[in-house]
Amino acid sequence: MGISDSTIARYTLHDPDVRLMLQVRDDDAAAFEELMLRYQDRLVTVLEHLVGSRDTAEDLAQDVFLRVYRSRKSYQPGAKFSTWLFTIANNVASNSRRSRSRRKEVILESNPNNSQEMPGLEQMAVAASSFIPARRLDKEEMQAAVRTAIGTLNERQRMAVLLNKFENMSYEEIAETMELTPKAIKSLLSRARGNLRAVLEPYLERGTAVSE
Amino acid sequence: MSPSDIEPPVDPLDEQLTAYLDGELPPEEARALEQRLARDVTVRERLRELAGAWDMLDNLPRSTVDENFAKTTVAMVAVAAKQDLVDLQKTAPRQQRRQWLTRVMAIAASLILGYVGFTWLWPNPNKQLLSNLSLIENWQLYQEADSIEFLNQLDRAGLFWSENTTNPDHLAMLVPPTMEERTLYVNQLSESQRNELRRKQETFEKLEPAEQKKLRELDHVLQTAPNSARMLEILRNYHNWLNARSPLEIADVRKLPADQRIDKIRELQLRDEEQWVKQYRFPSHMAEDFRRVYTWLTDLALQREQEILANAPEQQRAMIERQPVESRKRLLLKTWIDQEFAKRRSEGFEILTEEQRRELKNASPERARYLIGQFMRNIPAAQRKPMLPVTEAELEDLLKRLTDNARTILKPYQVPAGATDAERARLTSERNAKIWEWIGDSMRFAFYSRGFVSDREIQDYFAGLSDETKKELALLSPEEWKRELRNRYLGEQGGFGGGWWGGRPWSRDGSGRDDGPRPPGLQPDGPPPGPPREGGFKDGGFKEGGFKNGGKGPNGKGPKGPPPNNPPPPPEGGFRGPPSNGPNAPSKEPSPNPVPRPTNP
Repeated sequence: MGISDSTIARYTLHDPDVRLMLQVRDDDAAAFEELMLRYQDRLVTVLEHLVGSRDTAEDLAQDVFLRVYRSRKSYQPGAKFSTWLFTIANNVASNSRRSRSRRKEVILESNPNNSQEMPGLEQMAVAASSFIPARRLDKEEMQAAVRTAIGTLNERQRMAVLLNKFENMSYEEIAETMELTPKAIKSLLSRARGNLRAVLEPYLERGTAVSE
Repeated sequence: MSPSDIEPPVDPLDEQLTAYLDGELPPEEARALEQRLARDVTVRERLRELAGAWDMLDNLPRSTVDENFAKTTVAMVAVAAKQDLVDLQKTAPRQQRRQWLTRVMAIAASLILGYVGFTWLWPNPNKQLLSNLSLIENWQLYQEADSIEFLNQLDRAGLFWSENTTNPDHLAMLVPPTMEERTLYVNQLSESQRNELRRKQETFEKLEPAEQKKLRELDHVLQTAPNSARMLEILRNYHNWLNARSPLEIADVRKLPADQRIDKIRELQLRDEEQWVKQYRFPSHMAEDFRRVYTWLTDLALQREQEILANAPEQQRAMIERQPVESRKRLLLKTWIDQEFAKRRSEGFEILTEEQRRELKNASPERARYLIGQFMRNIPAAQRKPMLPVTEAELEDLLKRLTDNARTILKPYQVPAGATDAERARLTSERNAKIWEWIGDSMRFAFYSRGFVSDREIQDYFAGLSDETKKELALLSPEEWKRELRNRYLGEQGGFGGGWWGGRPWSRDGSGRDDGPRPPGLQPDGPPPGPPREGGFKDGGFKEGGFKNGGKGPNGKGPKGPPPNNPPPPPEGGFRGPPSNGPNAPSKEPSPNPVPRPTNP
């Protein structure tokens, strides 16, 4: 289905990053560089929390930029630029996960000793229930707890949460990025919040706050 | 499938609360929920827990990538761009290919953040070469150095460092730090440059292990030294200077231990001085005075350091402040002159014609200075405004520093007792005009005294020429191009705007000077005797040695110069100075080969 002229005009008018991308389409290297600089940190942030590894996140982010470059000639602004970019990121991450699964690399196996990997829900439930913080946690411990909690989510829930939290995307934008319906996103996020609440409950019950 | 994929259905209340927290509930639903929250404490508690857990996500850190990420990403995209070009060349019609060539090259070139040029991929630059890139590129230079201490000695002695080098602290001579960048660098070399690199690698590998080890250690020390770029620049200039000398002189220098070499170098440079003083028509009896005048000038610049630095851009200021004192004085002097010159240039010169103003407007700063000098020759010396704001007291200080010889020459301008004000003014003005003539000469003298011209100066000079000039130079062979560029640079830059200072003009028209007896063989109005030597004197440092590798120097870097297989552009508006058999003309004499070391290819 093609994108209407009015849609193209709307996004071109309202989104400066769309205008930059149109310059990239015309082989403007400086525009490409500018987009890269604007989005590299954001992209790596989301990908790192998605896959649990900084190195993998950077590799994936570079793949994303390479795809942006390669698809520049067919680019048409049918959405905000960030939506389009993270759609590519979502696809790249999914492909990567599939190929890693095929190579029998299991990112989500439990290994409480390896902070790069994500433990399963059972392990975390056990860990959460047994770990009743008797004191205020420091920032690092809190980060570790939250990372672990994120890791209990499945990949789609995690992606939806990260896009909502870090990119402030609406349900509609997340839906577009993940190629789902807004209703499906609503369910995903609801389930994700519920899971997070369950895992992080001990910290909430105790009124545990992060100490600086 | 992960455990969280097999889940009970979503609680509708949770779904509603989540959407409410995300601001995604339609207004009427949101109002209804708020009413429920107001009356139901369990719902409120549930909301609080969902919000609380969500807020804890604020503890997740945000990532920041380092500059290597950007560089390697750009490199990947540049390689993709290059592949596009290769694919396109296979399939696209010629016209389209040509259009694409420009655009793809532009995108790749500008993406590569400072690397320019865009040539074919070298399929397998082997890992060994890339790991040892600085060693392979520079080992032949290293053989002259023995140690970094020797280079430091050269530096302290003020030898082989040029303050005329633009931005000397940021020389593109150091090898890129990462393997990706090195691959990119190597891939953008021309065919002949890559072949040379391969040859250097092969020759290095044939050296004795002990020699290889020594060179490797020196490479490591030089590449990691805090003043690495400066040391390498000095080394390169020294190498070029030495290899331009006669075989006997080269052997004499090389056989000496490092601590004795400096004296030998100075001895050779003094010997050279005799020749170039004659060649560039300096009155030979004034050599010592020119040295003293130059010292006085640099002292003046140092006294004005704060003011000069205050008017300099930040990067230039920082660069000057980093220099050892002798270099700093010379750089301060150059900067001071540039600043004063810029003031005058922007003020305009009432004596210029429209055509001259147009030419000046389009000229690079160095060329503009030269042009002003040429234009000013039409004004009698006594009427020219001094270029630098020097006080009468400072001029008196200079007079005290001069030799008896110079004072003797100035005697006719002494104001006799009982002179009228008008006579006093006239004599003082004429005396000062003479002094300004010497000031100009002393700067030229200092320039030639260095004994070398760095590749970078030539590259910068070339970059400042007009497109028309560059195109004309392109008609010359690479060897002629090198010689011509060097000659022009020496002629123009050595003049520091010759006539403007009142100094001896480079054009060698033999115009009258009254500094004493002329060197034998030079007639007042005749052309210079004999055919000129190319680019300089016989065994001096201005010869081929300064410019061996197609305009790029021994490291093969320096995109400012044209690559050897790309004929560079030409001179602007014809040559200044003498006709085709004069010193500016390309000489047809073959250049002598530098003395090879036994292990050279």
